[in-house]
Amino acid sequence: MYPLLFSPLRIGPVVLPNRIVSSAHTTNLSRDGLASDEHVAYYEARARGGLGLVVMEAVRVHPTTAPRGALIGYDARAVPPLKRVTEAVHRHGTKIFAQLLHMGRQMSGADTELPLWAPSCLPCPTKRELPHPMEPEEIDEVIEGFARAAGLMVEAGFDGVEVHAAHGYLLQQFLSPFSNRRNDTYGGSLENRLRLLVQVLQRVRAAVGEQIAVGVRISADEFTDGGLGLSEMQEVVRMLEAVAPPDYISVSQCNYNGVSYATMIPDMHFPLGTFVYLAAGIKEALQRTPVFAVGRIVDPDQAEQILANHQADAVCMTRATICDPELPRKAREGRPEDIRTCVGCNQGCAGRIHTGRSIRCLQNPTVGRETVWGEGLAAAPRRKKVVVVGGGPAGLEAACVAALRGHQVVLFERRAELGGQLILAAKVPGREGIRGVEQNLSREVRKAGVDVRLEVEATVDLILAEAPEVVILAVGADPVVPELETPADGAAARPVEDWLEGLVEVGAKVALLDDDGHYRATSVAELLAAEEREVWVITPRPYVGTDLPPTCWVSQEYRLRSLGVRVLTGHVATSWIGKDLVVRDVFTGENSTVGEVESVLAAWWRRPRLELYRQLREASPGIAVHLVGDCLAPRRAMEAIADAHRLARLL
Amino acid sequence: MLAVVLLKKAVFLSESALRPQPVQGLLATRRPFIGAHDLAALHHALSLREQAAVSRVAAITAGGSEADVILCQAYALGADEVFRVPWEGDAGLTDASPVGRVLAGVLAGLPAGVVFCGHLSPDSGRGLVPYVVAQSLGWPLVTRAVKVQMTPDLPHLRIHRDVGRGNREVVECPLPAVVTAVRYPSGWRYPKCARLLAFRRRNVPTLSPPSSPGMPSEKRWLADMEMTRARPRPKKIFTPDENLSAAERMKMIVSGGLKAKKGKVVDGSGADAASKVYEVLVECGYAPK
Repeated sequence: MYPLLFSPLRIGPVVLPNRIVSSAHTTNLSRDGLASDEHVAYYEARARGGLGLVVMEAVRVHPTTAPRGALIGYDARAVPPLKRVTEAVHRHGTKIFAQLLHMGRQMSGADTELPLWAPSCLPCPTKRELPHPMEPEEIDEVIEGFARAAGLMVEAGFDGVEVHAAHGYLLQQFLSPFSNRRNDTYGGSLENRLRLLVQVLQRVRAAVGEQIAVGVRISADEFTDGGLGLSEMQEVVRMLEAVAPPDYISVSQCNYNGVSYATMIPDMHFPLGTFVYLAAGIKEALQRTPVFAVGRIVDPDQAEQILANHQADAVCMTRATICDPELPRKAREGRPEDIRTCVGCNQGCAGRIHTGRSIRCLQNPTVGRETVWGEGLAAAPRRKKVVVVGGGPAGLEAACVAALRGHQVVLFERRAELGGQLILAAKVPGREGIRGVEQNLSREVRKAGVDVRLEVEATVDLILAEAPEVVILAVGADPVVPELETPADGAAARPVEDWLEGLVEVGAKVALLDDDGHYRATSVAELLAAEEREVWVITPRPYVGTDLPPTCWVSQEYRLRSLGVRVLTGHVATSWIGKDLVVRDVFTGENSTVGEVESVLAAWWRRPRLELYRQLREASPGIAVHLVGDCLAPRRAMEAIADAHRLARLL
Repeated sequence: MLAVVLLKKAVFLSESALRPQPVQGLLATRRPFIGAHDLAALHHALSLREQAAVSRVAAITAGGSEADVILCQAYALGADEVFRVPWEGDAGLTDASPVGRVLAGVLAGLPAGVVFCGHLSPDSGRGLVPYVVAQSLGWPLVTRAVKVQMTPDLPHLRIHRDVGRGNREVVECPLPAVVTAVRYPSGWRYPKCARLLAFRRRNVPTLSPPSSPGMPSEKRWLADMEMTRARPRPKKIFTPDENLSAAERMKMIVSGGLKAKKGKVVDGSGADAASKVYEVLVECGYAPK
C-alpha cells in the first residue's frame, strides 16, 4: 500500500528495513544518567510496532552538558544499560542509532554545577546564563568527548550515531553567526564556523570506522534574525558532503531564540509537514546523502507523498509513533484507518519533558508506562455490564478499554455528538486539530463494540434499568466565574464556554479573566482579537498561559502579541460597574481600573458535577460507581484519559 | 602541461547542409559563435588551469580568417594562446574526418596533456571530430564529461560522465586523453574587455600539421571508479522568502503563505444546514431570492 515508505534505505553500512524513523526525543526516563527499564520497554514498544529506525534520545558527550534526567555518553558505565536497549530494539528488526549531544549554552549551569561552555560569552536568549567562551584545548576536549562517546555507542551495540548539530546546541552555536563572535580559526567565515562540526564528524568517523553509520542533525533555518537560513545551510551541507561526508542528514530547524523555539516541536497551530520544505531544500543541495524530514508528519499517506515528491529519503514520524507505536504495522497491513493519529497537542511529549517530567501522551496513556501497561490489555476475569455516562475524552477512553477487555459497555451521552469539551475547544481557529482526539476515540469505541447512545440524559432510573455492575461517571465539570461586585441590573461575567456556544454576545472591548493557565483562556483571547475586538487578559498568575507546554507557550505568546491582546498579570478583577472593571494587584493590594469594558468573560475554575454520583450512591449502594475526568477533579484531557484508562484496566 | 581546446566555428542551424535550405540565406550573415558544448570544454580546461593541474590553455580552431572571431572569444574568456589551423573546406560540417586527422596531426606536435572538445556542435550535431582525433592519436576518449578533476598523485583525470537520465559515471583516465564536454557547468565566465582589445592587436598564429604524424606507441585504458544514480530533484514546495524577518517567515509558515481570510461562518444544526447555506448563497448573489 505504501511502496516507498516500506522500501529499504541504505544509510552508510546500515540498511533500514523501511523509511519510518523515530527521531531522537527526550523521555526523561533515565536513572542517574543511565538507561532504565522504562527506556528498554519504551523503545521496544516502538520497535515492535515496525519502525525502520529509532534514533534514541541524546547521550551527553561531556560532563559540562549533563542536565537532570539526561543520559550520559562519556562514561563506560553507560554501556551495559544502553546495550539492553539496543538488544530489545534489534529483536524486532529495527535499527537503532544514538544521538551525541553537547548543549553548550542552551541549558542551566545549575544542573551540572559547572560553567556553561559556548563559542562566545553571549547568553542563550531563553536560559539567559552567561557562558564561558571555550579555549582551544576545551574545544579539543569536546571533540574527544564526541569521539569517545561514539566509541562507547559501538560497544553498546548501536547501528549508528547521529551528531546533534541542530536546535541551537553547541555545534550549531559555533556554526551560527548569531551565537559565534570568535575571531580565531573557529569564528568569522563560514569555513571557520563550520570547522568544529567538521572536526567532530571526522573524529567520530575515525573512532567508529566503517562499522556503523555516522549521521548529523542540522537546523536548516534558525528562524532568528542574524542567524542561519536555508541558503547558508545549503552551502554548509555541500561543504560537509565534500570534506566530512555524513551517511545521512536529518533536517530540523530552530534554536532557543524567542519564536524560533516554537518551531522545534511544531504544535497543532502549524500545518502538517510544515518544515518539509527545509528537507527538500537541503536535499536539493546534496549529491548523494540521504535526507530525513521532520515536523508534523503524522499520516502514512502524507509520508508516502513526501517520498514520492523526492523531498526526503526518510520521514521522522516521531510524535506519530509516540501516539500510536503500531502505526508502521497498521500502515503496512493496509489499515491506516486504525491509526490513532497524533494531533500535535504537545502536552504529554514536549510539554512534560520540557518541565523535567517523564514522557506521556494525551492520546496514549501507556507512553512512559510501558513497564506497567505496555503488554496490551488483559482480558477481564469476568464479563461485567458497565455503564459509562459522558462521551467526553474520559468517558470514551473508559468505555473503549473496558470493552476491549471483554466487558459489555453502554455509553450515554446527552449531546448529539461525542467529544465533550473537545468540541468547544476545537471551535477556535488553529485548535481544530484537538477534535482529532475525539475522532480517534469515537472510532475506537465503536470498533470495540460499545453501545453508544446519543442524546440521552442519563438519570438514576435509566442507569439502573441497564442493571449495571459498574457505573463510570465522566460527566465533566461546570465552569465557575469569579464573583464580581456588579449593580443588581448589570451584566455579570460569563464563562468563555458560553460565548463559544453562542449563548452570549460580547462587545468591542472584552476583559477575559484567566485563572486557567491553558488554551481555554488564551485561544479565546486570540479568537476575540482576530475578530478585531480589544481584548484584555487579566490573570492573577505571573504570566498568561502558565500551564501551556513551553514551545506552545512561545507560539501562543507570538500570536497574542501579533494580535495586540493586552495582558495584565498579577491582578484579579473585583468589580464591574458601568463599564469600569476594577482590578486588584495580588501583590500590593492596590486597585486600578480598566475602562470601557463592554463584556467580561472568564476562564476560571470548574466545579465537578457530582449530583448524579450522589444520587446513584444513595439509590443503589451495591453498585460500584466511579468518577473519572473532570468530575473527579477538573484538569486537562490528558489526565482525564489517564484516569479513565487506569480505572478501566482494574475493572 | 598544456590543455588544448578544439573549438568549432558554429553557425546557425539553418546554415547546415543537413538543414532545409530556404532559411539558410536569411541567416548566413549571422556572426559565428562558440557552441554550448565547446564553451563547456573551454571551461573545463580553464578550471584545470585554476587548479594548477595544467599550466596553459590553448584554443585551436580550423578554418579561414573568418574563424578568428571564435578565437577572439576564447581569448577573451581566458585562453592563454590561440591558434588557427588553415582549412579551406566546410570544417566539421561535411569534412569532419579530414579535419579531425589534420587536427590530430597538429596536436601530435604540441606538448598537449589533455584535449577538450564539445560533445556536439549546434549545427551538424554529429560530434565526430573528437572521435577522429582520439583514434588518430591513439589516445583514450572520454565522452560527455560534466566535471573534470586532476587526481592528486597520478597524471590521471577523474571525469564525471553524464550517462543519461541524470545518472553519473566516474572514470579515471590516463593522460594524454581526449575529453568531450556536454554542457556548461555552473558559474558563467564572462569575456574580459581588455583581452578583447588585446586580441585585436595581435596576429593569430596558424599551425600546420606535419606531413607524417607519428603513430601511437601504446594503448591506455580507462578505469571505472563508480556509478551514481540520478538524484531526482525535490518537487517544489512553498518556501518562505529568506529575506523576510524570522517572525514574518513564521507567519508565512503558519498561514501557508496565505493571508488570513475573513469568511462568513454559518453556525447551527445539521438540519438547518441546507437553508443556511442557501441564505448565504442568496446574500452573495449566487442564488435568487
